[in-house]
This record gives sequence, C-alpha cells and structure tokens, in this order.
Amino acid sequence: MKKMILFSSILMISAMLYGAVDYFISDRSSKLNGLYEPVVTARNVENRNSGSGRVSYANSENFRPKHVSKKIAEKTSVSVRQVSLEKFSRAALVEIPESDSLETTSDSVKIVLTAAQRLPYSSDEKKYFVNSDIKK
Amino acid sequence: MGNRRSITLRKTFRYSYRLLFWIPVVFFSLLLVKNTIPYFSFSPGFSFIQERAILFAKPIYKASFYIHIFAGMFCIATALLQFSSELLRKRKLIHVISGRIYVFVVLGLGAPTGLYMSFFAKGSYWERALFVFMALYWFYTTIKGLQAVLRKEILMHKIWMIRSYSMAMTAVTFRIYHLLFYSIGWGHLENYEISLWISVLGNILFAECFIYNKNQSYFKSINLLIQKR
Repeated sequence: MKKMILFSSILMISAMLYGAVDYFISDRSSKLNGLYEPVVTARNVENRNSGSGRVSYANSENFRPKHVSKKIAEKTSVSVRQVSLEKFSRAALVEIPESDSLETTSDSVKIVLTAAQRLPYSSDEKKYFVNSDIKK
Repeated sequence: MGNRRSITLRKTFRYSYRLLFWIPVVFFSLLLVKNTIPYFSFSPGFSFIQERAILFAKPIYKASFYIHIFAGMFCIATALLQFSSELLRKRKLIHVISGRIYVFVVLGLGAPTGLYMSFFAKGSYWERALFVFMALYWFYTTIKGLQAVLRKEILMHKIWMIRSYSMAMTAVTFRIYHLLFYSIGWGHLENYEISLWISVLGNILFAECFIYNKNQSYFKSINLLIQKR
C-alpha cells in the first residue's frame, strides 16, 4: 500500500507539472482563449457564403431528459434568429440540419459559413466571426 | 406505550430520511454511469468532444479523458456499496474489495488525469483553479482514508472517505444543478460556472455537516467493534 501511495503521489506531481507546463508554456494557452467560443458545425453546405441553421447548446445530450433538450434547442433557436451574438451563450453550438433554414435580415443574425466542419477560434478568428460573419 | 410509539415513529422518520437521500443518489449515480458508457465507442461525435476538438487532437489529453471517465464510472459505482452498514456487517469482503477498487481508481487513475485536465477546463481561471483544488482534495482525502484504515482507525477512515466521496459526487450534483438552472432559463456559461461552484462547495459543506451530525453514532460503532474483539 505504501508503494501505491508513493506511486500515485508521483503521478499527481507529474500531472501537475505537465499540465502547468503544457498550459503556460505551449501555445495551447492562446488557443484556449477561443476554445469554448461559439462553434459552427456546418453540415450539407454547398455555398461558402450561405447561412442556415439553428443553435443548440454543447453538452445538451448529457444527462438531460429528451423533452428538456428539445425545449432548450427551440428556445435557443429563437434567440439566434432575434438577438445578437452576445445574447446567446459563448459555448453555443450552431448546427446546420438539412431542413431548418435561418432567415437573415438587418435586425436578425446572419451566419456565414465556411466549408469547414467546425471552425476553431483563435482570438483573431473570433473577431472576424463577430464582426463579419454574424451581424445584428 | 407512548414511549415505544415515539421510538417507532422516530425510526420510521430516520428510515424515510435515508430513503429520500439514497434513492436519488443511487438513481443519478447509475444514470451518470449509463451516460458515460457511450463515450467508449470513441466516436468524436459527442458535443463534449467537439467543443474540445483542439484539446482532443493531443493524445495525452485524449487518453486522460478516457482514463478519467473510466475511473469515474468505477469510482461512482463502487462507492455506492461502501456506505451500507448492512453490507459491512454481513459481507465485509465486498466492502474491502470495492473499497480497494475505489482507492485504486481514485489515486492511480481519476485524480491524476483530472488534475492534468483541470488546466484546460471550461470557464475562467477561477474555475480552472477550482478543478485543480478538487483533484488535490479528492486525492488527499482518499489517501487519508486509506492510511486511517491501515492503522485501523475506523472513525477517521469513515470521516475521510465521506469527504472523498463528496468530491466524487460533484460529477453527479453538478449535472443536477446544471439541469435545474437550465429549466429556469439561465445562460449556458453562467449556469456552468455557478453549478460548478455550488456543487463543489455545497458537497464539501454537506459532508462536513454530515460528519458533525454523525459523530455520536461513529463513537457507538467504535465501541461495538471494541466489544466484538
């Protein structure tokens, strides 16, 4: 048992050191700034500049009864159509289903998609995304 | 007669209170275990993984995640067996074996991987610091619990293991708070951060209150053990 305590303590110290080094020294920390920003998951996208979709929260399927998940998705979908980016969660996930298109007007949200399956956000890309891709 | 009736009534209350506590604990623990199993398809389609695609590109983070959830499943499941005094009395071997599994998965797998992943957790620096604290506290309380039982200090073993279990249960209580706050329409990130703080601090506080209230019966259990010897 003493050996196990010693071994696990070494593991903990290694995890602490490796995590700290990885976080503070590598460029991962700069990427992290945008890691949990809104994510666009584009499916069935033909035109680079077309936008359609609805928003659902990341982790929505975890530990949540189906009816709650549906309610949240509906609520969020409405908020995306009507309000600015700041109003919906930073961790929202925009999914593009085949049939649910999003109309964009001057006072609603316009989503411009790239052909990428998922846009990773560095802080520069986020700025671009906020200023150019989604308008109030 | 009246005295006997009041004792029966008190026993019924105590039994009902235990049921009210343990039924949701068992239900949500098993639900967590059930919801974890699909992750072992290793599919990148889960939104939890999609959201952390940058991190999952790194093998050590990916390995840590799968080890952590694997350990978490065993930890939650085995811990459920540890608090049954009935089981401890009649099938002590089950308590010993599941306790060893719990200690092994916490010390060797769950806490170290959790500590590494803490640095990349969602939220601000404060939330990341909280995750680091959780991993360290979980590790420390489990080690103290193990050391106490090796020294045959049963009371201290119980106390430290309750503290350790309270940390393991943050995975469950966090999801309950998250779900509750969603139902009242809170935003995702605010909900996440508040649920996290409430679940960690709330569980620590609950464990300390529980330990404080149970002190008398702990001493009784020690007396019983001494008498048996």
